[in-house]
Amino acid sequence: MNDYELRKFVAPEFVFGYGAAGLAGRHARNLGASRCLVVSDHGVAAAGHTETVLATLREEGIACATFLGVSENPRDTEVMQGSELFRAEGCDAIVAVGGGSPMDCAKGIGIMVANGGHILDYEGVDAIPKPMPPLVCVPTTAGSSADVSQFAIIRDTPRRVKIAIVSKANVPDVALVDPLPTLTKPRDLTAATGLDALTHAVEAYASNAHSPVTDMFALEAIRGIGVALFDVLDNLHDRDARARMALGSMNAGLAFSNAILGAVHALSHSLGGMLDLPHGECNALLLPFVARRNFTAAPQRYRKVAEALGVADALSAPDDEVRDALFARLSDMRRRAGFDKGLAQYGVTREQLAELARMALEDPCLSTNPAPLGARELEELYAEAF
Amino acid sequence: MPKRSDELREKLIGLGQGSTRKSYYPELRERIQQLELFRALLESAGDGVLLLAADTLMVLDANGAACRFAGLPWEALTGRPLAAAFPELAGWKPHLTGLTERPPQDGPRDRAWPLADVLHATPPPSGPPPVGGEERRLIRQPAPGADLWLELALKRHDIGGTPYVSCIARDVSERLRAEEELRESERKYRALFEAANDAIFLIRDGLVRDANRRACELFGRPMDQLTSMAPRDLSPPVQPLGGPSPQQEGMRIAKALAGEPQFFEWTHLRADGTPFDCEISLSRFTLRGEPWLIAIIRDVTEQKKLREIMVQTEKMMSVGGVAAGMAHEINNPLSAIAQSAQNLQRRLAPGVRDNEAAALMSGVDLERVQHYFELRGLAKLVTNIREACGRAAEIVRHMLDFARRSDAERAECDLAALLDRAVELAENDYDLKKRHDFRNIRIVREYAPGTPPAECAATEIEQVLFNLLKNASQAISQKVYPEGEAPRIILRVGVQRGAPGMPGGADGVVGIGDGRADADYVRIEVEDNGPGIDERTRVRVFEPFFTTKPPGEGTGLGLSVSYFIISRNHGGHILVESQPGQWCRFTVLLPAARRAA
Repeated sequence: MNDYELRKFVAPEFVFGYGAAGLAGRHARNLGASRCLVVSDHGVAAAGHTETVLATLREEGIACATFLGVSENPRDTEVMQGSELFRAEGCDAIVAVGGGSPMDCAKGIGIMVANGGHILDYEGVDAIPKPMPPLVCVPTTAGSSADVSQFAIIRDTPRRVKIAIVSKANVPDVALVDPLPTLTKPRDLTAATGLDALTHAVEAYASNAHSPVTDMFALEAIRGIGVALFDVLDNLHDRDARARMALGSMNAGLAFSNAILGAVHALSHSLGGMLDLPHGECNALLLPFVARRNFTAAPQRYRKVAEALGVADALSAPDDEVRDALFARLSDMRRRAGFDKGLAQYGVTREQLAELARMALEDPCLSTNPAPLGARELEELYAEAF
Repeated sequence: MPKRSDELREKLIGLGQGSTRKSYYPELRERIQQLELFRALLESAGDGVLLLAADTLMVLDANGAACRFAGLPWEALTGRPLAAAFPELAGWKPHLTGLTERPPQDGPRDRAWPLADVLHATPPPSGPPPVGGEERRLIRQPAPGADLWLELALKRHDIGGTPYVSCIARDVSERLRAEEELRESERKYRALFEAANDAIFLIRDGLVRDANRRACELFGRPMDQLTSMAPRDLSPPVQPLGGPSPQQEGMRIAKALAGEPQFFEWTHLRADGTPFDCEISLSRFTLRGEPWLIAIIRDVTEQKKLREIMVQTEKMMSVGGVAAGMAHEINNPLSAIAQSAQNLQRRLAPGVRDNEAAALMSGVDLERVQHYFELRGLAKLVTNIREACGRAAEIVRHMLDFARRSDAERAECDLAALLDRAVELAENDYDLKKRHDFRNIRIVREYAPGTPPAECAATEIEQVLFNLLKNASQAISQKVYPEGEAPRIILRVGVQRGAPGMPGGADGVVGIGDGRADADYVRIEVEDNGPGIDERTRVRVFEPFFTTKPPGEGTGLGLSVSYFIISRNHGGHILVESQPGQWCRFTVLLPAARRAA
């Protein structure tokens, strides 16, 4: 594979930095909003972030309707409810405030409002015919990076699967990446979202669709997150450490949105869809096993990952040593972040593994995994993480 | 660092107020709003608006009014051919679709809607279908209640390379109804206008612009002649009531135009130049902002004549009363004179015992006295007294007749036969024969067939008619006839419906009796072509003792007696008209006999 093959890089207009969230009103206005649907969730609202954004919107003379009915893994039904609210309220723009869930739900609402039908109709890649109304994302977690990505992951409740809606039309118009709202994140959420961001960066870097531009963001993200995550976990009130995490997460987002992901996400989406398990924790659990499995398919890529994470002699040691060292480092980071459960402890049974694997095989993220993996390999990976 | 540079830097690094990457969304939203506004306008339009595919005439979109006209919801109206919604269009292919070579053929249509025909006159196409060309059509659309009349205007458009036809459907039912009502109203008022018994002129800018049938009759002119004339052209130069016609007319018109309705008497001229009297009511009305005058012209000739008859009757009745009273008073002394004169003669006569005895006692010889009387002509004087008394008694008898109803036998008489008998009497009358050469007068009879009889006393009427003939022949004898004209009397018998006072004469209304029982009068006219009489004479002609003859030629009672015979004894009328120097006409109207139904 050559670095100079055709590659596209899609990113939203974004503002990064302290106070970026306060620009929501201005940008919404510039995008022509007169009546916004603000999509958020109860946790974010309780932390006061939703109200902060609403105030900036009102300041610009923009009327607002608020939709807080979003679960951790946003559901098709919630998307439908939100889009009905959008229509009923006569909205003409969407502002998402929160983590991956409200942002993905907001994207779903946008798709529905513009295209009608059912949200599940738009599953897959580039399957959205009409662009959505203006979407401004104000992330309050450093992890999902839905605010910069072309991904929207929605849970198909009847089928109990997570579907991926991947489209350039999903890229928000503006992302306002403000480290300050992340200060209120509790420790568990900080750890889970941080490891999610790390997974994004690693999978993007190892992806068979990586490019020089995505590599830049991915490596920078791995390096930054590797240090910042633990600085933050040491002191949850460390503003600059939070900012480094927010930056790392954003870099990872820019990388994976364009280089796409790999098997970790395929397996994780399957778990989230079928068992409604927390996305970040699943990624953290699966990342070491997938990296070990993929290593031989892209040794140079994983050596760089290992190097970025501070593994000694990562570029010079033999493959298997580096592979094992990387596995150990990733497992260690997960433990240090406070996660040590296996799949069984999350309530998964061995009987479910084959079905989980079968569903993971359908996930579009698998197509950019550096190693081609079949259902059996995917089941083996689940087994390893059991 | 100055503030301005800060702002510039902010903007450059994308943190300015307006620093958001370009988006079509606001612009699009505005356009969408415009479209929605446009749609709302379209929906609020009273006209139906339809968008059609040019090739198939399939309805692609329609507004609320169009749905209403079609009687279909939007979902049913769209996606189907236009003819499915408007059945009258079945099989029609407007040429602007490019599908036909011929203009649309129309089926039979209700003639009550003439506008339809105008609208159907679509020019035939030439060459390729015209872009932007328009086609119109009026259709009748069934609807609950009353059918709708829709005027369709189809126009071709090419939008984004696709041909479309727009169709605007306008509900013209109301308009057509209003037009029809207007026409009806126009018909109604035209009928009123034409049926009026008065002549009516509509005048603008001093000229007659419209006139009714009666006006044409009255003026004896056709419509097109009247409508280019001014009222002054229909008047004599000078009005008998004073002032030159144009000046009087100008004054009346100016006042009427100023909003002061005028009512006045006027004399107009018929086409043949004969004047007639009328009453004119002149008032203003406004038509399309322009001042018009309406002149209602009532011919009062008949009315005037009626008035004259009434005045005459009243005068005659009073004169008659006076005359009869006088006659009655005169009668007694007159009788005494006559009686005395008779006694005088008798007491002078010889061979009468009392006379002989008185003479003997007086020592007078009667024979000698007689002789003296002879010598002095006294006997003749006494005879004269007696004769004069007789004449006076005759006059008194006539005068008494004025006030006395005749008790002569009444019977249904054929007036033509009576008239003929009167002519026969006149022909055999010694006086007429000798002095007036009656046999040299040509008698022209114009008897209308089927004239009903009148109930009358035959001898009285005969006397009246004889009087009239005698008058006529006496008048004729007063005139020196020019070359080519000969004495003649025209006798007419006919009927008259309606009040007396209608103009008579050969071209008058002497109706042809048709045997119908509804004639009001039997009309007899005696017209001579003698010297005629002037107006002053005319109004007095029936007065007792009024005469134009030299003294001794007549008593002046003939026409008076005739008058009372006709008017009082028979409830009829006797009238006289004359054109001095030309003719004189007496008209007798007798109530026609009412036949038992």
